[in-house]
Amino acid sequence: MSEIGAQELMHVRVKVNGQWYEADVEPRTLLIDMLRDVLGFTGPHIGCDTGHCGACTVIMNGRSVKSCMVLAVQADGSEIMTVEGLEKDGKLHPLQEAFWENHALQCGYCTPGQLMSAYFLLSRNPNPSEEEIRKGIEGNLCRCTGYVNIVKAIKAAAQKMADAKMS
Amino acid sequence: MDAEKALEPGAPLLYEEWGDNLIYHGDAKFGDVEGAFARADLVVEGTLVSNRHSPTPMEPRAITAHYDPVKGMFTIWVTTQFPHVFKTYISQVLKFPEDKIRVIAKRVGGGYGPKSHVYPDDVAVLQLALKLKRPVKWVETRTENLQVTGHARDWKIYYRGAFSRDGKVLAVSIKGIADFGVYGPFWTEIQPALVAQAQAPGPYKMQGYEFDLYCVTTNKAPYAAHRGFGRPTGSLVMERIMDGAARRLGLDPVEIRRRNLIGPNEMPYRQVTNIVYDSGDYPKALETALRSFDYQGWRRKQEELRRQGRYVGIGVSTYVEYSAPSSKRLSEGLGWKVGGYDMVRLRVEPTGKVKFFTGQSTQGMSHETIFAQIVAEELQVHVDDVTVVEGDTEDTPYSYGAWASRATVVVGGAAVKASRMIRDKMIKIAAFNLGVEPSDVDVARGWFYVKFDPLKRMPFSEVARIAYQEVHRIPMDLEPGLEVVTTYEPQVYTTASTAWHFVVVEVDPETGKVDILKYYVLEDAGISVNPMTMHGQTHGAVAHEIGGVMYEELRYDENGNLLNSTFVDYLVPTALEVPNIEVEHIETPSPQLGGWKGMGEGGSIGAPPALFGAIEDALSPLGVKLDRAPLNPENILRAIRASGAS
Repeated sequence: MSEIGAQELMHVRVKVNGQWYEADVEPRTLLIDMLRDVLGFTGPHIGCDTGHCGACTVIMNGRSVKSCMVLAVQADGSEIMTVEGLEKDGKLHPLQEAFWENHALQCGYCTPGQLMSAYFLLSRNPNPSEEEIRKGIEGNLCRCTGYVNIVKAIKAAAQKMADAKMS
Repeated sequence: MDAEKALEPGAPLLYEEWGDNLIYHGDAKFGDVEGAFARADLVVEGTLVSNRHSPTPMEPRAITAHYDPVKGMFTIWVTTQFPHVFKTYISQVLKFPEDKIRVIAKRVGGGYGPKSHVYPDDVAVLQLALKLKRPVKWVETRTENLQVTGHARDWKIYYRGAFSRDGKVLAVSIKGIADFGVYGPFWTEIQPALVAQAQAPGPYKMQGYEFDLYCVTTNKAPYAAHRGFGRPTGSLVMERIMDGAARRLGLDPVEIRRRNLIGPNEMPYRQVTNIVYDSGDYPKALETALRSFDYQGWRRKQEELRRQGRYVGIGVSTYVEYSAPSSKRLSEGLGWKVGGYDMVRLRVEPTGKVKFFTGQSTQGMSHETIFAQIVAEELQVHVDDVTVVEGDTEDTPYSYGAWASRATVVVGGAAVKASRMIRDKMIKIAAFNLGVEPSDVDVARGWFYVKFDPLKRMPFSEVARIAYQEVHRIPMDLEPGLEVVTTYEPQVYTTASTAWHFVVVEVDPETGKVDILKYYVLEDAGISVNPMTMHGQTHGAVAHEIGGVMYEELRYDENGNLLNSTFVDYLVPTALEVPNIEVEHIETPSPQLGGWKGMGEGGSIGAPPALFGAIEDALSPLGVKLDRAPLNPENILRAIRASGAS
């Protein structure tokens, strides 16, 4: 029987929000736990244990993933973007601005996940319909807003980003 | 596992020493109930089963406790809606000095009721921390959350309503059996059930009202506070009675409600339950809603769609949400050791920046915005110059916390009072320096100015600086500094908000699936501090009960096992189930300070009866009657089969 000890730890390298990090983690460590507890990215939240609430959503290699459904070792070598990576040079991302302007968050617990799902949606579909937005955030539960202002904010952000591209 | 069976003679006893399974039994009769039923042209009777569900805030409960033996301080970080009450309670439970306890509850991820309790597992964490003298942290998993936190709305109700031929409600009689599970955590106890009974009569005039209430213990999780706190159940019964009577009398569901409304000239109105509504204009609210929603237009459209074979229905509901209860109701009426007041501290700093301290804690209700707005308006400073401090018992005054939709009304009122105290003092200091009488000075947009010579003026920040740094420039009878602590309690019995909900649904009778085509809410919660945050709370509260009445049901097997304790099978509605909710607001001010009324829970009261009515209306060609929530495909198909239509 092997002992549980340092030899059991796995070495993982991930690039988070543009910077490389390395850590030794247990094989069973989830990506969300590595992000929060080891690397200190506490933006992504944990709201369930079955991959349904979406509060832990991050972008991994350009695709949105629920980071509670990914093992840290699976993320080895990956590029990750968390909600902390949206802001650039002290300026909020247009999505964050739109969430603020449209009162798209109340308690804010689901917001980091909503923002990352919206970010992924707009990266694939810069001009989504209301139906497409609703499908895009279907995996992110919110109990404060009834989604009304989240949908509105994502629409407004898409418009904002399109305008910025034009000018 | 069945509350009704638990009442039968010979039922197994959960607590043998009790001799029965009753936590509480109480009945009350108001007005002439028997006479009304004897005179009635029509008696509507029925049963209603409402489903146990939980508000499941996205952040489950969490607690970290640290005892510092050197300082003797016990610091607790906890997801609570009432940090000060939490402190008082655990001091009593642990026999630990209250002045050595600090409770911190900053930015809690959703509350909706279940976080206005102290749970046994909280106490266990605290005891461990004291014993180990090491920090101890516990975070509830979602499964644990669904198993024990926030169960509510589990009722079976027998109702009767007496009506005259012209649709006037004469009296209502309700027998309610509420399944409270095992005896509950501090401090809700059976109050939601009493509130449900007090809630039912709503905006309607009636001569008689009676209830007979059984709060039963079973092998389920304990009952908890849950957005609406009994009101959704009370209003659901009342509105089912109105819909039933409308159908039997051949009246439009809007018309029967219109005929029974309390008039604006009758305010303040003592409801049959003796609860006094402070203000309201229910007919005006209705007429506004009918126009905005285009009720007649939707009825025509419904006929058209029906001819195409589509099952489209329109539902309507209304209620009165009595909020921010006074000490008269809480400590005198209900016997709680709870005040209806709240205490705040307000400080204008030497720089002219403002800090507002409240013992509330926020779970997403935009306190930082609305209290800052209220103070900024009174002091005539920029809203960004006001900082709201809350959620830490160490630097905030005592507060009973965030529940009963009370924060804006009570804390907002205290904010107005404190601001006016500081403003009056600053006016005196400004007048002293401008060489005029205080009555000649006013404040606007950051300047104190002489009313008859507005160019003679001093900046707000300069007056603030003088108040601290140049005592010789302050009138002799004033103390230096600009800081006050004050309490406020509305002078009314309770502030009474109202709303009208209109919803259009389409039902697929083959599958029982319901689509919401349109959802409209007209709300009157008095003066609106911030329409955006106010509408946001209505959206959320409606969405909560779209989930509660259509999808969410905590189900047990006969051995007491909870069958759905994850989001795999406990269905919280997603962005695909919740429609765009339109909210409109009219303002009938409350006669007390600020004119506000509580509203954070209202959407959850209006949604269940509106959805019941709409789905039943959609299926009315099949003669379907609904008496059991959730209105999920399983129960809708069962109701269709029971009607003999398929």
